[in-house]
Amino acid sequence: MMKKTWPALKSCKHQCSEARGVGLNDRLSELPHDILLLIMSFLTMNEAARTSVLSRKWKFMWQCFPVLFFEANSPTMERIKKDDQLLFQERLGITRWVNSVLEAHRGLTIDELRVIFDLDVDCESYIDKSISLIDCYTWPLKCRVQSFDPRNLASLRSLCLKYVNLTVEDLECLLKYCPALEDLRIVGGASALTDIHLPHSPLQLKHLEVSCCPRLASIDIFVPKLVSFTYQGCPIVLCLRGASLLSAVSIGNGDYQGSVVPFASGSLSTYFQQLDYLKWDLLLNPRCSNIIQFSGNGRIYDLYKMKEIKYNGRPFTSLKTLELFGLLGQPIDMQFATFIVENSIMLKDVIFQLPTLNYAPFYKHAMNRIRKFKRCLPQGVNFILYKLLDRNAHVSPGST
Amino acid sequence: MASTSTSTLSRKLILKSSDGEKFEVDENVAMQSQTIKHMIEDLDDINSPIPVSIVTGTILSKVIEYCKKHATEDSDSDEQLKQWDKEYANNMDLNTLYYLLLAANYMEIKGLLELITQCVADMIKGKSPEEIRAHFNIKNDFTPQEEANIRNENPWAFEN
Repeated sequence: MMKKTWPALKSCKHQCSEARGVGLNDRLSELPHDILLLIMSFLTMNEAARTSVLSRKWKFMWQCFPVLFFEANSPTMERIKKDDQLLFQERLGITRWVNSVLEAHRGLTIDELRVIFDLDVDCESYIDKSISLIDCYTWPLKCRVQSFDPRNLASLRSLCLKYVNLTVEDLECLLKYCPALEDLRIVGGASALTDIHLPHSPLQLKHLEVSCCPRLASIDIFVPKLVSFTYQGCPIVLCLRGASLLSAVSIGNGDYQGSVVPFASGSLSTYFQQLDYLKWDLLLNPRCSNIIQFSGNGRIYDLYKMKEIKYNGRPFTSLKTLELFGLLGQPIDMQFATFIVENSIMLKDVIFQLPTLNYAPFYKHAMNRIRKFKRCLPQGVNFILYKLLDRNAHVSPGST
Repeated sequence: MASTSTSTLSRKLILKSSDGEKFEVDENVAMQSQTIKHMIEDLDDINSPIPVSIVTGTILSKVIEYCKKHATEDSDSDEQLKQWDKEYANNMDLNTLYYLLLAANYMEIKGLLELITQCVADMIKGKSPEEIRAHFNIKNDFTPQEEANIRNENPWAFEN
């Protein structure tokens, strides 16, 4: 989500004269505005704000700082945990803080604004007045969308909704009124979100992530520009229409305690041949007693489904990177992995992530199977094995 | 060695600095500068020197050193290249850094511009306003009252 913006540089034809004395001048402050902003983009908001007292020039520079993150510090959060009453007080404090910074802001645009706090609707409507400036907005945690005016969002390009109580209407409204929206992430909560149904109006979305929306039953959208799609959760009715540019897919079961492989291979099989990145993210807990049964019943069906695809002649013709997360190294897992490898032509990297297995013999067998799988890989295919603990260290889709 | 394909790949260009110094460089080295890339597209005769009008010879030689290293990056791992970048930036004094910034900006060499801006940002990080002023020779043009007011406007930035 963090991105560096690249300011327009053409405007700069600035030249410092070398004739002036060396060492004693403040050359830094004389640098063009664009370069100073670029330097400041490597600072945190607090570090940038501290430069405001250096001199008048720097005060102005701070007022143009384009990336604003507001988050209560951890001692404050600890105090709130102990005393609920403080929440209201701190809410007021955070809102004042956001408002004072936004009011003093003099830049043409804000590239990114994040407010991470438990706000309510009153705070939000105030903050919302400023969002017409913004092209990347992370909605306040647990905040509701009722009060927003979609006309303000015409230039919004990237939207991340985490734990927002979004309804079907809210989302459809958002998608309709944000003609520039390219990057949408909906993560967590959203119990009122049951369907995303816009099969006829073409959306501009390039990247879509829908994760852990427990009540979601279907997605049916027309996405001619979609490049990457991430889905985490239980099987749903999934229909991505016209996604001829789709090249990266990541599918996982999230909090759902079952297999999503048959659903995904059914819904997405038409796109398999154009993918160059595929990630299966199956979060399994090997300590669960039901896991054997689940992998016995559920996944034989998976493999059965995969075979059907095979006979339909839909190989992974462009696949370059395959990530397999959470597989236990059971025979059926390895058959699944082998199936994808055998049907890929351009495969370069196979990344296999094994959950921590407490039961040693189980682990030993799994490792043996994985070693065998590795030996059978075609020449030139890299194999990387991660244990569960390394998981966070790994790069996310798209940045490989 | 001198087959047609390799000779088109390694055409030579001559860059001329603001103080008249001339540098002969491989085309792929010079092409890391978007500005030069666009200039070449417009030029019919690439044998005449290309003026890099605001950059002095001393600075231009350092820019070329960076571009050469990054034109042959496949010989080094990313890690080695990062290490090289770090040493390259650390060996410059402040004045050179400023001129390099202006040169990288004018010549549109994104990697170099990012490297040097990051390097200057690192000098700002972790310093108090007083230390930053001293390091960069920034003259405080506020009255004590004005400075106190600004600190009061953003108290959150100054509490640790």
